[in-house]
Amino acid sequence: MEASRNFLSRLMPYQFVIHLAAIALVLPLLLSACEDQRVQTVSWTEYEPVYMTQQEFKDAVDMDEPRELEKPGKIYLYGQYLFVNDINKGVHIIDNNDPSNPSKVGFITIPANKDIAVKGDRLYADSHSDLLVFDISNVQEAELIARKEGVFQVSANEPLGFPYRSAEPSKGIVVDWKPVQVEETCRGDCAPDVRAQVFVDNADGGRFSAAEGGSATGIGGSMARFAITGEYLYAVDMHSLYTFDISAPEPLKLNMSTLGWAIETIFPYEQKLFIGSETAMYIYDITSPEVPSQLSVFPHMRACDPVVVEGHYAYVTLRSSPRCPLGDNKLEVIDVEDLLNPTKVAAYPMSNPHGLGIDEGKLFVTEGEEGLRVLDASDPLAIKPIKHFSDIRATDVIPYNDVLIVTGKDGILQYDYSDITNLRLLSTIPVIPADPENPS
Amino acid sequence: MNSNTFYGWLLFFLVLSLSAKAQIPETGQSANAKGLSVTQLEMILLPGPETTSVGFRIATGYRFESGLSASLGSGFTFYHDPLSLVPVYLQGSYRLNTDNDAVSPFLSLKIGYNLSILTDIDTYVEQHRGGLMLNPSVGIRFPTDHAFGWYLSAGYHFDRSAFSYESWNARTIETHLSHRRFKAGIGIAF
Repeated sequence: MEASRNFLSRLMPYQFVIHLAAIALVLPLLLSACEDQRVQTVSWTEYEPVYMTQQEFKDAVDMDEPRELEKPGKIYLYGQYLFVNDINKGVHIIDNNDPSNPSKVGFITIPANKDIAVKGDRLYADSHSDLLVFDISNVQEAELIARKEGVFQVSANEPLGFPYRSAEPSKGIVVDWKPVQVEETCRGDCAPDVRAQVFVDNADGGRFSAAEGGSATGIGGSMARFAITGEYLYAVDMHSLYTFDISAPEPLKLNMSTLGWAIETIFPYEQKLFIGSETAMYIYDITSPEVPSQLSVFPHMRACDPVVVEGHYAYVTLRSSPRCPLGDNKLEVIDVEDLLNPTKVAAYPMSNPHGLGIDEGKLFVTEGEEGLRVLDASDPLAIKPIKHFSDIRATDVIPYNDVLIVTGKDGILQYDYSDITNLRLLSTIPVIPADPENPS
Repeated sequence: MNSNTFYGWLLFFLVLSLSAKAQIPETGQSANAKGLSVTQLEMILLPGPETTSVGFRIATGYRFESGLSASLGSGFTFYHDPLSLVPVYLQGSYRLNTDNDAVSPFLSLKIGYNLSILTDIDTYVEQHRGGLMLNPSVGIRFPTDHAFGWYLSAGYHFDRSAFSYESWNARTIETHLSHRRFKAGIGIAF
């Protein structure tokens, strides 16, 4: 102890030198790390294909027990029954005899299903590129009676959103897409990813759906891509209009005509088809139902737009979205009395319009995350707001017989609109995602 | 002004007011005397690979008999890529020579947290945050004929910050910045 103290006391005169030496040793170590570091983390949701083999794909079609709504897509009202597509999963059958107390009857598992329509005792549903026909004379025992294979050009290979991983045909048939979280970390800035140069859309990811037709058919929402009139089923995909003769249990594909680009919805009205695309509204005459003929095209700015018609007026919602980023958000009223020369007569600003429905001048516009608007369209040239439900998420509507069926991310909501100034909520069928952490 | 920026400036002005108070010669003695309050003002240069950042520091605290001092400090570091930083730190220093009239080397360590301020408005940023600040340095203090000394310092300067935004295709892009710079400073101490 004493020795070490003596040693330290001998070092005292050199204290300053020792300190400097220590600094000289440490400083270069510190300076060696003198380099800015920039680390970028890019995270996104990417859609990954879900595959089935050909045999699994066919065997999967079955009548199952009722289940929760996961991702409701198109809706179709037929008699007392409400058919709700669960995107890429199948069709919920709901007994809606009492809209205040709807009850689930069953679920038809249909892989890669997005669109439905009903006529008589038959339910028509797409499944990938196939058209399926079910006998629903006993809805609790719905039975597949026909499968027309490969009738549609565009199939479930279309992802539900973007970006997405490319499908690999060697792995089987793409029946669904599941979102996966992806993270990429780069020193410096991550390079631009070409996979990101695409757009996202959600509930409207379906390829086909359904709409109103003759007396024995039901009523579809405005986002429908299927329409039944008489003995004919019309379907649109991104580019084409398909015509099927459905007078027999086995549908007969009659015609396919190329329409244009980004076709979205189809609405049948008095021997006419009103077809919405991202850039125009097409009017087709189906007086000769086997061969629809184009009457006119009403162009507009690029926007996502379903269309419904009542009287001499067509109502078109135009929506700006990631898929249609340059569009306006508005409701346009188009005079279609002269079908060869449709003319815009009014436009009204909207927030985020999706689907719409009209019943004797009572107009309902779903505004996505912005809710639901109730409008008085008794004078289409001077539409007046009545009420705005901002606390729901609404994608599409069917107004029928004083019951408004609203579909969206919150599920299926039904309102009594017999008093248009005071809508009354009748019931809610909630969405319960299978993966609550990733409800998309 | 977001809350981060608000609290940054709040702390900065708190330190500034403490510093101003510390300079009042309440005892009538030299502020450089042992055991009394000490205030430092320092300008710093942080040369980087492409640009040289500048900043300033202000700290106030106490110096003890042994040559050790402890201070609370703040300041501003202008990086502009796209964030600038307001550090709030604790500083510990050790003067090798406690004689106020002599040239004295010293060691210093500043450690604290940076609050971030968006100073490049051309860069789209939705959220940003600061991070760790660390600055060990050495220096030499020179006496003057007045009641303060001036000093030169050099050291290593480490700042962390991050900013993020959601790109138009729903991709969240988060950039983490670690500035690791040589630091050169000049300052005065009351």
